[in-house]
Amino acid sequence: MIDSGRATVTETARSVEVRVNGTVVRHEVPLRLLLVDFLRDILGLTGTHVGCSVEGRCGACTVLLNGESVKSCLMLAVQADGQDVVTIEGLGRPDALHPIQEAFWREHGLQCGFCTPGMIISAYQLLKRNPCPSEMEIRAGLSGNLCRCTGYVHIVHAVERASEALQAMTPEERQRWLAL
Amino acid sequence: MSVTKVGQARWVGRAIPRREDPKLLTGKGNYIGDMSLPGMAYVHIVRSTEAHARIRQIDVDKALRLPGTVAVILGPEMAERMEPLLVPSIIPNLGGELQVPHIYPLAIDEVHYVGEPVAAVVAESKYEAEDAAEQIEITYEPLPRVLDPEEALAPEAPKVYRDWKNNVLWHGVIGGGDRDAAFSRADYVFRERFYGHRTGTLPMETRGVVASYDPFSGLTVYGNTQRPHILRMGLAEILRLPHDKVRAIAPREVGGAFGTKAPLYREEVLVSYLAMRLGRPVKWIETRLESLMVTGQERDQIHELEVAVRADGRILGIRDRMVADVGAGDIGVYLGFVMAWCGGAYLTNAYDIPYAEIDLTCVATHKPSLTPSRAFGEFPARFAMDYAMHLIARDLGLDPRQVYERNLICNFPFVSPTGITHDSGDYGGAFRRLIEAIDYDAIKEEQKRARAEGRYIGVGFSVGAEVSGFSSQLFVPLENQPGYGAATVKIDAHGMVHVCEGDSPQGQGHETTLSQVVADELGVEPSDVYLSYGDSLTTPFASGTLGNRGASYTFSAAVLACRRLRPKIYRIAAHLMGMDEAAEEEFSLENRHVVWRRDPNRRIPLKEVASAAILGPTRLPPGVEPGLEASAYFEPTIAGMWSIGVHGVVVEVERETGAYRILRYVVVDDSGCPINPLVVRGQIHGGVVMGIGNTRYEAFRFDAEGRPLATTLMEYTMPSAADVPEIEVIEHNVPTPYTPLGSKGKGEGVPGPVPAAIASAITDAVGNPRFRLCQLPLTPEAVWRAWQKAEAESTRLAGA
Amino acid sequence: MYPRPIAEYKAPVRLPECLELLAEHRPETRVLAGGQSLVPLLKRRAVSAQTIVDINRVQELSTLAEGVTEDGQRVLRLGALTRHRTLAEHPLLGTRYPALAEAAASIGDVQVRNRGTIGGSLVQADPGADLPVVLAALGATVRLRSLRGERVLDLEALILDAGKTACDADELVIEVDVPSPRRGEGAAYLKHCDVFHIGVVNLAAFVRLDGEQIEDVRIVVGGVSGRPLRVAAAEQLLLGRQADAHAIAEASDRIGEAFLLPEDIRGSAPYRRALLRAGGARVLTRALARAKGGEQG
Repeated sequence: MIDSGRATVTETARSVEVRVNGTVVRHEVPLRLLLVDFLRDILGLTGTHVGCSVEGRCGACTVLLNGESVKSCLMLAVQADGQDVVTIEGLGRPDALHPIQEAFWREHGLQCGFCTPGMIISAYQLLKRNPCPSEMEIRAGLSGNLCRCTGYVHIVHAVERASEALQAMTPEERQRWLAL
Repeated sequence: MSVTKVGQARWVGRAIPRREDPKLLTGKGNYIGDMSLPGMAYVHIVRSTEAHARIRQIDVDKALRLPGTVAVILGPEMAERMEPLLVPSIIPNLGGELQVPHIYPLAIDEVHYVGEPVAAVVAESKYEAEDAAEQIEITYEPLPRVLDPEEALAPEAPKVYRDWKNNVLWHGVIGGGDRDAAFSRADYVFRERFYGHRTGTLPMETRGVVASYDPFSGLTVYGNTQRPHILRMGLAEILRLPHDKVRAIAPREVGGAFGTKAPLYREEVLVSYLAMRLGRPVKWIETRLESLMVTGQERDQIHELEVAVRADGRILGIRDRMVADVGAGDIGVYLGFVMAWCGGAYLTNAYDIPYAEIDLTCVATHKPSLTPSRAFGEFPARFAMDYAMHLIARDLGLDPRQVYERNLICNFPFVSPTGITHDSGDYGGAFRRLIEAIDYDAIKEEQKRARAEGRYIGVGFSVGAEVSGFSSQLFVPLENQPGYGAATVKIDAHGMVHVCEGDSPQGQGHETTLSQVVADELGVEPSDVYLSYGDSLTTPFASGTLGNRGASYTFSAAVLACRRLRPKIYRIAAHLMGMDEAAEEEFSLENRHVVWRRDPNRRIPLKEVASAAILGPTRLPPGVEPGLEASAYFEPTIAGMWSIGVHGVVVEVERETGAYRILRYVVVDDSGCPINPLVVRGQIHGGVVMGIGNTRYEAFRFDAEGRPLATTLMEYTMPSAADVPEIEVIEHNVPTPYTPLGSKGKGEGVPGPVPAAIASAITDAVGNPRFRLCQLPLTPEAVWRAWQKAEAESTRLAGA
Repeated sequence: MYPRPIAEYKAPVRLPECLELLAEHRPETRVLAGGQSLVPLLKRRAVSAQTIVDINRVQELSTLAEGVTEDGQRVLRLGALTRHRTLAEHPLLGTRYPALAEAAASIGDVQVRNRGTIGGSLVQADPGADLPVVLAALGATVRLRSLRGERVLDLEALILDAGKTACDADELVIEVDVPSPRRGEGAAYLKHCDVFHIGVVNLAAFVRLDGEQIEDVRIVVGGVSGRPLRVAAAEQLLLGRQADAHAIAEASDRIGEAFLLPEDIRGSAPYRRALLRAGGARVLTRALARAKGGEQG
């Protein structure tokens, strides 16, 4: 219960069922719980990061909701009820990297790695909609994600490389990588 | 089987992808925010909303009544249970006149800036901690405040700390040389006031601490610090704990630091204290709001610079009256002023200037303390000096290239009048390479054509000497810490190599680069090398990852440790191969084998040598001790090592709005011997973009009450990919003779030259002889204003 | 920074259910659409929500089609849940309503445009927001519905001040109607920002030409006041004038001088004036080019 000069409000919880990285999970969550905290604190998917407070500017918490990139710190967990969420953990595994992850690796598109999961999800969103982006389009497409280490140069190169790698694939193969 | 040639470097110099990345790319990193301990509670810090006030009352009853609240802790109890925060081991030794704030983790009776910690709420969840914090009512009695450093120097100014004699935290004069020889022989004395505003680095991961305590193992503090050993030492002293009862651990992954995680902060002591006081683990993760209030604010220097010049552009001497607004100065190791000291000491940059006299006053104000940030203290200094050189060229009717060429240091080692030693390099060569790479003459031609069409294009450049680690000679006075690099190298029973370094990286890629170095030294693969870092219990003492210490100091220590191990490896190998009579020099380490150079077919796996040394000591030669490990501490035989970066930029400026676009940004850079060129490039790209952010987009501003105007990343606007250009990097490497590999540290100083490069390019584009940009940030509005002003002056002069 | 406790969360799938919930007048009831403005406010604890009415599942609020209103006007009907991304990328907008697409494309970033909605943007009434400015210039109207009935307001009547609208507690913005372009009409949108998509000032212009003569014009400026403002002085000057560079220059001077401008961290008053002057010229030039070139919008 909390009284902040308002009527006393009791914390209420509700059961949600969310498909996360292909697996349906069911949990009781407080109504006010942010989606990012649901993913990190309840499901233990700590690859999704938090780098800002109220504003949702940094983009480190970016995930896919029904295939579209969203900031999970700007959503309540209850909003994801019945929806499909993909986090960085659902993209590729350390021993089977997604072509975008592979390209970030080869081009040194990360340093401290804190912004990386969100950045990769945004790169995914970009390439899904625009398979052959120009440098300017890449920069615009990633403008919702801040990085403080790389100066973005190698990130842009990584997205270019990933685009080339995806283009070199058969349509079926490409579709498989971009079907999330 | 092909055998690598003896002495051929196999890994150093190769741009291999980093070993740490698959983990980070898949979200499997372990950052401080990902940590939790059984029974852990959450801390929310209630901070001052006043810049200067007496705390009249703190009402915590409503907060304590909430069911999730564990405790609310206030300042007064701390005075009895710990030492004041700024204990001697974390106070600099720079001489001069120093006044130290007498503070505890939470404010007692009085607050000195907005954001100062006042109360700590501990609750069962982070949501509930905030619920409780919202219920705490604090009554302040506002006191007179002073926010401007020059006003703070007035005798009648309100004092930041009641027990101080004035607001001067530190004052001293840096410099030397013959003053009269400089200024009396000058053909021209340039005078200008430069201001480098309050801005900084702000990593994407905010600060965080998880602490636990039990009387047997003591205090264990996980924190994303750059210097776990210093944290441990400071906590033991402040909390009056024996050294064996404090362990500081920086998580394997730290989400960037850039200096901001190097101090010993009040919050680290506070969270540790709470764990002890409550007897349960506690966690605090700084919110971005808190970070914008108190962390990562740097620069903030006024330079009243005078430069004595000969008509040909040769600089004979400089005088500078420097005033730094250090805020409350309440952070350990730096007290907010060490950065400004460096700004003074490094002011002569890469130039052979015979005389310098820098009168530095570090003034406390009712603002948060400055905290270290990449381009440590030198960001405003580089701006002042290098932009001044462009203005001097204009005043003297010289080509700015001439002024630079006439003054760059060319004889090494060089000791500046401020006492800074430059070991080696090719500063002039790097400069000429930049001019060539940016196609200076062609751009000047293009500029003429563009101007005819009403477009304004300009080219600018600047230079940044970059410290390559601090030697103890400088570091002991500067931060009261040793400069040496420390490493222990242990070959394990499987022939793999365990390296324990004293530093604690935050994204620099040591797992890759240090492995490359060690792999070459011991003839193994990088994948055979594994690292310990960040844990004060298991790594050798060192000062942390900061100031470009990695490739210069710490890796050199690892090299020395490997080289110390080799004779023993050879001796055991010789014995195992039945060649006891062979001399050490006859062997080498290659492809995971010890090889007899005279006949490379005679070889033995390193694993077998290790196995004998560790698991089968009966097979060792007589008199040889078991085990294969060595420690080394690296300190160069010279007082300072530096490297150079030369920046060139082409801009186009829009007359109606002052908006400008960077068309090209080129860096010519010396890293001595790049261990991994990909990693070096990444450092330079990131440094330049951070510099662009600090120069143009980012500023910590305050209202008249001292409250921050940037409370979210929508006001503290760090550039996104769409706001910055591609950065071109050209290597111009000159190995230093003072490290075993010739390697130099790289990355820390990269933002330094950015503001002068951009300012000089804009000035060149505008082309008005009265146009100047002497105050950062260089926002489009600042450019627009300066242009309006220059045109008004031109019109007035033409009229007169 | 986390929201205060929330007592109830309702996610109806039909519009009448939404209106019934709003008609109950529970305290601290917040309508949640894209959430890109509301959630930050909840996290900052600047607002509280006892009840959240999440309208994202209401299909009928996602329409996007050209149609005819009750009074026979051809319009583009945009359901309140139309996302910024749709506005920015929908081919129909790109060809027929480019100014609206331009404004939507300059909102926030990809993630924000994926979630943010036109209805949310209008109801939040952020003084720097993109859509209110362009919609005011286009002469769009907003449909509000409650159990009491429906009303249609133009932008000026809807947005009263920063964060304040004429939308009553039991009302929901259900649709925005943008007049379809006719021959001789053109519009453009421009936001001046130094970093990211954070605007210092933003402007939109709509013109209708009769031959070379300006027959109708609307110029709207944002970021200078609590709400989008029409620049009557500049409009007056242009009405009936030849659409030439001279007229544009005079009009942009008037745009710059029309208001008492605010000072904040994004820019001083004189600088905003310079931006309005430069931006006014650009946005008018583009709108006129569209009107002349057969390029519609």
